[in-house]
Amino acid sequence: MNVALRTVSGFMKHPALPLLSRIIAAIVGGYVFANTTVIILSYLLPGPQYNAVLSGMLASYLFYAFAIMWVFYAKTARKAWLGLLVPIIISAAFLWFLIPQGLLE
Amino acid sequence: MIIISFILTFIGFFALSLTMQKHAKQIFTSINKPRYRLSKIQMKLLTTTGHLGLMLAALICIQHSGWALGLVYWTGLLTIAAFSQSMFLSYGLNTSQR
Amino acid sequence: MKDMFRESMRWLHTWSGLVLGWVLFFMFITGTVGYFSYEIDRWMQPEAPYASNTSDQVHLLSLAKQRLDLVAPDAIYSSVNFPVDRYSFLRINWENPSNKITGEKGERGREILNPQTGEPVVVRKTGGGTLLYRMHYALHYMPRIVAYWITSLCAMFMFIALITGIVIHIRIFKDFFTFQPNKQQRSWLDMHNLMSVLPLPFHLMITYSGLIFLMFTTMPGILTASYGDDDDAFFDSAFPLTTQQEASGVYAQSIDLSTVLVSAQQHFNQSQVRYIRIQNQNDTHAQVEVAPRGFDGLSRANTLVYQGVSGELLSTPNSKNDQSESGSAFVSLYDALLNLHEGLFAPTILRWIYFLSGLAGAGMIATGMILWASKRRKKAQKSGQVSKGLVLVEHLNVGTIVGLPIAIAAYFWANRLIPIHLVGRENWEINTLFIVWAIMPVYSFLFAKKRPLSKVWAEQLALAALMYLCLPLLNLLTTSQHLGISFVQGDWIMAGFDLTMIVLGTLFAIAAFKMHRQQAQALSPTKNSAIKPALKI
Repeated sequence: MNVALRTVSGFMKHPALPLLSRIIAAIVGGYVFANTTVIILSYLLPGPQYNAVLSGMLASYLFYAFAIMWVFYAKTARKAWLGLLVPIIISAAFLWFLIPQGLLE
Repeated sequence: MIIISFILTFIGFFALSLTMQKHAKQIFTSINKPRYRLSKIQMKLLTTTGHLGLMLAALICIQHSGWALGLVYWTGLLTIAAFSQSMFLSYGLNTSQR
Repeated sequence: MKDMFRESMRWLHTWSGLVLGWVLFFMFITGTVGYFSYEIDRWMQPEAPYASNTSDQVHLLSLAKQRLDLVAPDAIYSSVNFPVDRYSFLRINWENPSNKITGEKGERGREILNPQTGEPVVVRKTGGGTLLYRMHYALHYMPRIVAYWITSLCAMFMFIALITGIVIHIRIFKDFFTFQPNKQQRSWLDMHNLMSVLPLPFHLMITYSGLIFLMFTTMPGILTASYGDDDDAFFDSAFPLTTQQEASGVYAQSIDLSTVLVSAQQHFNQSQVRYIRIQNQNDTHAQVEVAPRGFDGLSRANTLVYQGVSGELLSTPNSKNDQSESGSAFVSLYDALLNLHEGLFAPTILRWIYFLSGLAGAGMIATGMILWASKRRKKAQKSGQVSKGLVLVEHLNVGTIVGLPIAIAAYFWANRLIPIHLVGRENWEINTLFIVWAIMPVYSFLFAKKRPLSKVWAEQLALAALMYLCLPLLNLLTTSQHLGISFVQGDWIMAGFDLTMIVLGTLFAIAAFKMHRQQAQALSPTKNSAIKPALKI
């Protein structure tokens, strides 16, 4: 028990951990960020739907790249995550709660 | 068309490289005038020539192959011409400074 | 503040470039080779006789038709591809009707014909240039979808490396032409900058459009969010196709294809077309499609479609264009990006510019990785501690940067040396490529203690030179399509391949020679393994 605890806490203090955390934030978090924001965008853009979807898909990689660069620019890994999660949660909430109620239709 | 545009881009880049101090020094050294300095008017003239050469090449490409293909040609030629220019500056000149 | 930004971007640039660098190098090289995939296909099937670009197509069509009537009299679909432009075979394709009881798809077939006699040519089984090119996005030995995700991830890393590279390279215009030879690390940096900055439009285009190519695999959520499971609704509205008519099941004698061909030739005002194909043959709903040569801007010139019984012209070349104009700007942007990536529209000189830009891309990755290693080597030499990771990277660098070209040469060698009737020979060709590629770094790593790295470079460069230079010779010994004959016949595709191999081999030889001389010089003072740039391109 004690040993397990110590390994866990040792792991939490490992110098490589923030880096690992950032890499996950960049690759996974950035991907989710790009998707959620672009989905909102594709709902909001005027014009035919296929057009909005296509332009969103084309732009998604720019959003992704932007997110990755943000993650490695942020001062700490925690800040990096925060900067990603806030827009993700906001846009996810937007999608889950507002859109089914027909606010956008 | 390609050859003319290539020559134009090459001349354009040559003129532009002359306006850069480091390359101007290289070039003047190779013709035994290491201390030569360009006047302001000369610089301006070279810059204009350089940009004109590049623009003219673009015009020719677009005139010949239409907007889309013409711009692709032009971009490609710019790359090749700039690369040749840089190889010319480092290998093609008679630099006996060292 | 600004410095911190630049510092973090420099870190990101270094690592996003290095981590998947070898896969990226592989993608760049195979993709670049792919700009000549048809030409390589031709070289790798030397049994096919030379088909002149200028032969009478009506005659070729009648030969092909004879053969089609013999092998696939009931085919519902058949096509004749003519030897024009980059394509050097007279080829027929067909598909038999599907089984009426089981609903199974009918058998498909393809044959290359002798353009003089119309007899089928038995060509060796090979993946050809098409396989080489396909590997740059579908890799090998793995399911397609897995490969798509891997290559997309690599492309994303490349994209990041490019953007951060622009951000950190402050002296982008000041150093525009700068190359200082013989200054070791400085020269590598110069070369890295030149090969990145000068073809930058190409690099950005190729990386971004590469991502776009696979976006329906990697970004499916955006599509699903709007269309649910109904993907087709999206594709139908974004990329409307001229719908193909179903067969009616009522018999009707199809029109003679040669009349259609002649009419199309007049319509296009060309004596040469690319292909003619017929759908629903001998059915009231038969359709004949004829494709012209050439391009309309960046996309293929539109085909003509004829009613297959009456011979009435159903679509004019302009009708598809009108549609896309009424479509959205983003559809055009998407199309333009894909066309730019594939570069099918590029005539010879532009194709070579594409090829050189692609090589510069590979060179950019290679010099980047060499820089990484040489910087760390310098530090390690000062502190006297060389880490295992550094040694590994150094050897993977040689084994990939020179090893992969060697492996590709080995692929061509295998094409000529593996017995023609061996079962699964086409698999062994590609296995050879990967086996040789694997041997290169392993071999250099095993003997790492015994010899300096620069010697390994020199050896592998020499091997590459030998393998490329001997390819035309091998071609001479094993086929009747060697330089002596292809020159006389005017078979420029065949001759062009051999000549290109000689040029590549010579370049490798020069690089090997330079490396050898430099290594001999560097041997006495220090055991420094930093390497002078040997111009590889």
